[in-house]
Amino acid sequence: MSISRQNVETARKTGQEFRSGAVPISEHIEKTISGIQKEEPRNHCFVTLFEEQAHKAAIRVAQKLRSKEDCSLLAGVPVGVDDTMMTRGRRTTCGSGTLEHFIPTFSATAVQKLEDAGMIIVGKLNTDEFSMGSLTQTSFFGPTSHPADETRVAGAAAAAVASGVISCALASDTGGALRQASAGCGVCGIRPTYGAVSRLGLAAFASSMDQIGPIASDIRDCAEILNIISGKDPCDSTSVEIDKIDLSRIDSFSLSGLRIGIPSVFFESDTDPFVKASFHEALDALRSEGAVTETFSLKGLDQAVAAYAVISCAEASANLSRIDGIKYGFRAPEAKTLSEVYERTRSVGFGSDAQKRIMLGNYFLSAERYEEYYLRALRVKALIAKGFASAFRRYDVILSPVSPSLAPKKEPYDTLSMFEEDFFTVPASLAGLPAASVPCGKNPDGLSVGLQMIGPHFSEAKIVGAADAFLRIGGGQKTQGGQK
Amino acid sequence: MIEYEAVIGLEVHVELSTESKIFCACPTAFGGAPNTHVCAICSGMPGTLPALNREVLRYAIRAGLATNCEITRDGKFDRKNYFYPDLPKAYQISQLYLPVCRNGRIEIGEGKNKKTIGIHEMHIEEDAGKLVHDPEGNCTLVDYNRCGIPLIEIVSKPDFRSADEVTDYLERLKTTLQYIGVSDCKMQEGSMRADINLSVRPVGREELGTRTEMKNMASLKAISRAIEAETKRQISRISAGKPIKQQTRRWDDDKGVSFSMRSKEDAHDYKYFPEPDLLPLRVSDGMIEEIRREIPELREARRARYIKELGLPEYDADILTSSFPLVRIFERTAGICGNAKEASNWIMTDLLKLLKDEQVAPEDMHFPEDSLGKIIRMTSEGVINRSVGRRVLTELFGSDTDPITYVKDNGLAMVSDQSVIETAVDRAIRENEKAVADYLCGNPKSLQFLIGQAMRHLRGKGDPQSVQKILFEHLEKRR
Repeated sequence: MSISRQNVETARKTGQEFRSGAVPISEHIEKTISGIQKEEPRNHCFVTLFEEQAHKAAIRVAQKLRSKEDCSLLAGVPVGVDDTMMTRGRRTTCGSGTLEHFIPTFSATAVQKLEDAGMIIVGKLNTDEFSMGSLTQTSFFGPTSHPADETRVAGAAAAAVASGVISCALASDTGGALRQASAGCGVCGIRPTYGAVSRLGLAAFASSMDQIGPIASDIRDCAEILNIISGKDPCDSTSVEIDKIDLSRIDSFSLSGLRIGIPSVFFESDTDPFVKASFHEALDALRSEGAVTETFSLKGLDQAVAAYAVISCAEASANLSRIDGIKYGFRAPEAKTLSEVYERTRSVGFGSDAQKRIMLGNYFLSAERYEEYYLRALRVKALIAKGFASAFRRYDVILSPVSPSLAPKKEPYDTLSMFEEDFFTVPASLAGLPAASVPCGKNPDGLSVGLQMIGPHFSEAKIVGAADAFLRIGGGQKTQGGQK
Repeated sequence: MIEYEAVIGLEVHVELSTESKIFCACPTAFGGAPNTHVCAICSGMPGTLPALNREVLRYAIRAGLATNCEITRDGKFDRKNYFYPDLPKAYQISQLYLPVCRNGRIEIGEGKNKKTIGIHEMHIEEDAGKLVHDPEGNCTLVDYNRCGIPLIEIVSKPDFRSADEVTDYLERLKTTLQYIGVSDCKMQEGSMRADINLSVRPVGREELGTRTEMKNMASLKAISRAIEAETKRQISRISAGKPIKQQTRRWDDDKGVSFSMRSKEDAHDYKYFPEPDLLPLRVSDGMIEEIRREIPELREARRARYIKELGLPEYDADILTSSFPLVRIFERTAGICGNAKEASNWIMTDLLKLLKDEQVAPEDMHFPEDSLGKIIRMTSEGVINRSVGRRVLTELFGSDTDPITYVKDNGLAMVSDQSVIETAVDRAIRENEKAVADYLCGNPKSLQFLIGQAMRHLRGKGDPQSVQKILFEHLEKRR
């Protein structure tokens, strides 16, 4: 076994083949779609395929390439988009029964930028209902299967990339979905600095933490896509301009002298032994290249999951209120009065996990509980952000595992244990920091684990450099890991 | 017999007259076919985000400065959550914790009845849509055109003791907001709406009684009647030993009574929390000073200046400053004709009469600001006489036609050509031998009659002085 990046051509190489004329775009798109269709009954990665639109786009982009119009390096490359992102005129369900037949009137800025760059959206990827979860367990359309084990779940964007049907995808990350999905399938993913990618057109889950990022089998492809989708959007007040990542300088990134911090609480946590062992091996590999590791204490991390749960449920409760059966989407047909429309539509339309989080959010925001929960959670958030800021005066990157456990079975889950899975990923979300997940091991059953690299705000280039260097030394190639 | 007094506080919602809505580019124009001033943002589509129209902040600060408020340097938006079909996001973006303005005041009353009404705070928020009942389909429809129209809510302190004080305050607030150009404050179109909080207590007691709230009052008369009726209702309940329930009441102006809508126990918990989609509002000293410079001279100061510097009678100054459209037309007119008193006279007698006859409010007047000034200038320059001037004003009121062009095109300019006037005078004398004889016998009234006849032959356009002079000469020749 080897990791998937040897199975799939990188998006950049595919783009190069289109530009040189070695491979016709239309043919490649046709192959991609039939590949997806072949795998779909087993994988269940896609909610909607844009077969016809993708073919039309292929012809358009090919025309542009022939007439030497200004195109990105990834023009013509097929890409999948998480179904929480609006695609104009094309079904967008947000993984929810409430929007099963919803057709948006506009495209998310990130989606629009991909299309402007000539990338071809072949379909919409399965997602947890309004992003509430990480591994599609809460999707109205059922979970996505793990590429290595059909009885286990996976994030659809990562599973589609890992199974080789597409080389790259856009996913969303609130508490760590993008990173956990990437880790679980042994592919790369980057959650950028909060605001680096416009949230316009991403159905909101927890607005203060939602971010769009790339998933690909190759970290440089992630960087290339991030360069396309990032930037200030006047329609998203919280968006910011970030420097583009200079891919030509990645080769020269050296691990020697890289200062790595590891919050000590990350070693004390209840983590799967294989995950722990892989993490230690990764640290060994980095140290052998001259990186310096050090543990430190970061105040508030033990309360990060609780703070995240409070803030995300609170924001979600307001964000999902617009799904009320009045304007669009599902409306309970039997409802007679206005309050019945609200009650029936929402209690039938939303899945149980979404309903739980909405109820919790309302509780946290209620007048009597606001201070006890919501304001306290904001204080924890501020404390963690401050802790990171001071840590980054001493360290270049902060490392941790991505997920405390291996891909779970397709079994009934409970909301609280899902929050526990976010232990390593929510701190960066709360602090708005960029974080990458890169593969750092695969167990004998083919279940992957990831290494999380967190950097200071706007340090995407540095994270990509460190991740790429780690992968170059074979850090992510370990299989049968754990023992040397 | 215990004497009671009413304690009243007001929450006034004012729609700001910015070109576009508060968080999207849709127009704010009143009316329009249902759901035509609507986009993905103001109709609450999934994935949409608000982007603040900076003009809204400037307008709100201007309103705050004009009512002596402190301006908050680091304001914030909050979400107010509730379900209603006219609220597409099911939350309203508003300001609870850090409103844009605080601690202002407005002076009401005259002379020894002067009184200061405190403004507790002023916050920015978005308006909701409207529900329309469709009797044909027997269903309720939603019109989202009004969604996202920027509002400021001006919350007064409970400083009012009577309906008269409330209406005086509302009139002054309206005038001020119109002066500074932030709102047209048309209660009939809903661009100014008031909620009344009212309680009663025995005169002399400090402690407040239990209050009721009456929402969305849409005319000054209704407000006045509602306050009087509610004061009476509360006093009679208390006098009868019955408690006042804290509740929201709906005033039915046709029936002249109010009904309970909901009581305190059913009050909403709006679950406010900071709006994560918008950045905090940073207001710099420079911005405040810049906005301060944009504020025109307000009514009181302008009124005093009209009396002192322009020498206008108090009554005229009062009327002219009562609405900003009148101020604008007065100052423009005075500027063009170069005579403030003339401008004032024409407006007070002729223009206001026209407005009254046509039942048009000054702010709805469709009449170029330059027109009246041009008409007056033509009369003072002798191009037309005063009665032709009046005629031109009446005929052009409500049209865009330029008065100078109109006078020229319709041949209304005064005739000062000696020979033309002489012909008309000759004719008047020839056709009215008796009047001529009377005049020569010493009846001066006949002179007026003959002038009138000559003017008639000149179709009213004769220069009155020339006509009189030539007629006089011709008559004297006959002696």
